[in-house]
Amino acid sequence: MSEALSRTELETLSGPELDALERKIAGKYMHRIPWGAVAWGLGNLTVWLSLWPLVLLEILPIAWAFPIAVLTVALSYLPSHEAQHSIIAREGHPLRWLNELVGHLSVIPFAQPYRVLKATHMEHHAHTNNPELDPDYAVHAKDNWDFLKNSILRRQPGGAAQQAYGAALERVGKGNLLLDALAYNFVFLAVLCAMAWTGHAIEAALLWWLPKHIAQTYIQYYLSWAPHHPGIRQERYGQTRGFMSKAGNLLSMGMQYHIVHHLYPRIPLSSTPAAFHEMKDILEIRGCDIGQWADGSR
Amino acid sequence: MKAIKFLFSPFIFGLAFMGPLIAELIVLADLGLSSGTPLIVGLIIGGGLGLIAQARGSWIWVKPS
Repeated sequence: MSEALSRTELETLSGPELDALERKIAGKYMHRIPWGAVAWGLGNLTVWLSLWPLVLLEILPIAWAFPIAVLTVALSYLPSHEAQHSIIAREGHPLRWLNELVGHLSVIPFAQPYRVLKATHMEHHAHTNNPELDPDYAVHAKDNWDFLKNSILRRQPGGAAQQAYGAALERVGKGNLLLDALAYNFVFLAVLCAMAWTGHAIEAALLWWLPKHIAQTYIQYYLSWAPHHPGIRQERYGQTRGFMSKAGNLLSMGMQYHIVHHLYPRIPLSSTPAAFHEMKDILEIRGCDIGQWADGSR
Repeated sequence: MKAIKFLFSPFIFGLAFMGPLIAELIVLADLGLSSGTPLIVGLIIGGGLGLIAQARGSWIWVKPS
């Protein structure tokens, strides 16, 4: 229900009236510091980092550490995503340093540079589902299996995984950020090789290399493929879809409500479910595909 | 640019990371080698896989479209 108005009453409102109501609802959920995301980002990094000495000192068996490493690498992206949208603190805010700190540090397990992720993600928002300009467009696939096949093939040495990101950075005049990517790749490779040549190749493979690949697939599935599928609409209310994941909201990383994020990127992830349910009827009237969340489809 | 591409090439990854990794797996699995040390065998397999991946543009044989 939106502001106590019934669906029938909402349908009588004009476009500008609906717009005002939608913005009023969104405003309630913005301008909050997501302390949970801050703790998540820094805590998750601490857990991942602690796995290394725990395993190398034989305090924690690698068989136990591996699933924890997969989980922590998979969980490393979203806090940085909050920072990419300056949700923790905008420019000029006294806590801006914290926003940037979380942005940079939380994605270390994912071995990706914050500035590259931010610049390319802004391009994704600006050109969602545009085959030429959306850096994430290549993730689109007709179904789950096609996504998996596509995801594995695209990251092969001859695949196009990073080309779209590089092209996007060049296009927006931030080609210099490719140096960040180069530095991160170098450190990632250097750590793996140094570990391998000092007798810890299995530990390096199971704490970083394999978790990174598993997490990359998982993150691409829930953050890129699922909420944008089938990826054919480019207008404001058609870029994303609502869906009800069998994995639940936590395991689907809150992406069931990704519509809200694309409409109002400054709403923290933890508030998107409440915002979605409050503006659900408006979104449906606006032409959003809210999937199984539509009243008639359950 | 060529040096950077070589540094991040599948061959280097196969040799420098997969080689020792395969050697550790050989030791872990207690595979009795008829000749050579686990590291030599690991480097040959890892380097070989890297070379194939470099030539085909794929670690899994299937070429990306």
